[in-house]
Amino acid sequence: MATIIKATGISTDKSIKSSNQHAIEAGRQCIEDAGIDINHIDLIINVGIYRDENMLEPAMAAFAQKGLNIKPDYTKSQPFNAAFSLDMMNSACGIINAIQTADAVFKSRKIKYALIVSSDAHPSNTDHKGFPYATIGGAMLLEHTDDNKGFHDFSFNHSPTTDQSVKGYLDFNNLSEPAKERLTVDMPGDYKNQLLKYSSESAEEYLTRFNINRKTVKLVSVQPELNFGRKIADIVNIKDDSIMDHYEQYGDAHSSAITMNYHHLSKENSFKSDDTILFLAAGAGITTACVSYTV
Amino acid sequence: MIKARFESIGAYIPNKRVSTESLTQEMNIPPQFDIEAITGIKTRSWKEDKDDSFTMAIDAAQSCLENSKYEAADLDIIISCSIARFVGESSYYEPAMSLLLKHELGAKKAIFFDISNACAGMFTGIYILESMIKAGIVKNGLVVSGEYISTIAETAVLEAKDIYDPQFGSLTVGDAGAAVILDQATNEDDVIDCFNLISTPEYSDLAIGKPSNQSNRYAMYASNSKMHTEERLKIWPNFQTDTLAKENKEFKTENFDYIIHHQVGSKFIERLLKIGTEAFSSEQPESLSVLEKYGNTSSTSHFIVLYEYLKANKLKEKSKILMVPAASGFVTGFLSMNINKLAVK
Repeated sequence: MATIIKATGISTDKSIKSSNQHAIEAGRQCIEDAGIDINHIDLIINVGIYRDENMLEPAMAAFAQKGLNIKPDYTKSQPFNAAFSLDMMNSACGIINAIQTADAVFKSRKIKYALIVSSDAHPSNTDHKGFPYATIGGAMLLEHTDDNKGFHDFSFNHSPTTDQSVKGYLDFNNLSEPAKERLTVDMPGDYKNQLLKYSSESAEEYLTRFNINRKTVKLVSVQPELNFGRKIADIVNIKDDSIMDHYEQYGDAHSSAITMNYHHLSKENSFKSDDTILFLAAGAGITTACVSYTV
Repeated sequence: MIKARFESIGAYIPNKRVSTESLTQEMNIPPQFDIEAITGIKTRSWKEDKDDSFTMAIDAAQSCLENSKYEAADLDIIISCSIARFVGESSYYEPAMSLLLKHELGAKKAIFFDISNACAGMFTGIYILESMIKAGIVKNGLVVSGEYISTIAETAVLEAKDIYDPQFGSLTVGDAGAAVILDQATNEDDVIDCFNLISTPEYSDLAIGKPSNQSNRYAMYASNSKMHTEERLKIWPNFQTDTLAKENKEFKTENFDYIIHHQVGSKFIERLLKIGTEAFSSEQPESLSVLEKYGNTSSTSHFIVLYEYLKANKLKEKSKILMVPAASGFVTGFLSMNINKLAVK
């Protein structure tokens, strides 16, 4: 039994400023690409962090479920015609938590498909200069299959304290802008160096622990700065020459970075059957997450 | 297959109470209605100066650990589920609140993430944790919520104009922290028996929580009359009936001892009990409630009820309990479980 990626989609249209719209657009492309019956999706997880108008509730996943028309209402005596949606938040590592969650729900509740969507936007839905993340969206459709490929060996780490972490918050003492359009993202000057340090340490530990062949493993990582993936590969001696970098094109795609990176590599046919991919996410905390994927 | 159970429960309920009378006296436009009669809420628990989402979550988690056989270092996972994530005067997006809780509790090996799913937050955390225990991914875990939500009541006091105002419902809320530890069930006396949740977002725009358009606080805008139509409220019994039917079961023969509905207000609970009676063609179990004292403590409300009844030793031995969430989204479902050894010291 395995959890595999059935399809991915990304939304990068610069005219879209809403995180909800990006998540829906990425989800629409993903489902179209998968070619499945939308009614077979039973779980929708949104892992985006920064939302339109600083909305607290409902879950942004509810808007994605509605926008994608995935069983938006319940009809009596059609018990399979129901879906559940939720928001999961763990900075750029939320995608790995969501994959592990979908894997658990697949195994325990016998569902077939789960859709993970992500997007970040400044709450004002403008190109705010203080917002360090890309306003884009991602979607990853996971499928429960009978084979033995897919995701395995999840691992999470974090720094001893949160002192060196980026911190994103709505400050109610700061009256500079209306609260629904206000956001503070404090990023320490050394943050990205620390991200690289903890990411490479986690990758090294993971590769050793699971005895992964560094000559053949493919790396799909977040991209908080230019050449982040390449730098990690060089530090831990991964020989993957297909590592792509989209930082100059999009910036830091944050909660959508893993999906976006995988999406582009997949479209470039960078993976072949039985390849092992190391997914490496890193973000606030400082938190890192690793998982292997057998294509 | 492995099943999960509630191994322990804990809560932090602030000592401060704000009465419905004093809250409505502060309103800019005195209400032309009796909120206490409509909601059944005499007082609501209210955060003290020292409290925020983080401290209330910590206090609830420590209360839960005191009732548990586990130490913090034993926990495999921590899931934080509050709607707002206040540390001091700021509500945080990152890092995750669950990481801050992990550091403070000393839960060294726990994986962690936050959940946001309105008043169904703790149910959602339990849904994930139960799935992970059943799948063998973790053996135990903590689901916790430090719910500082009274800020929306303060906003409603300033901005709500009448009973039809979309902020009217915000006057019901109170603050509290709640926590549960789940682990593998060892027998049928303490077990999560049947549990599922659904989201029906066709009308998701009917209840939106976000910063106020007029002031520097969070506000909740809810069209309760549209959201709580009989048709919408019937989704719960319809969904539970259909789910039970798949296992050749029916509500009547489940023999629930108690039912815990979301603590939105007494009239709301009465309507749900009536709808349940009709839809299931069955008398409803005894309804447990603490809303008169604590109000609607949002994501923690069902668990504050359970905690209070356990603490007061008011539940009979070997109880079968049905919990029914109702949250913005609209999220509903049911959690049915047997409890016997679950206790509050």
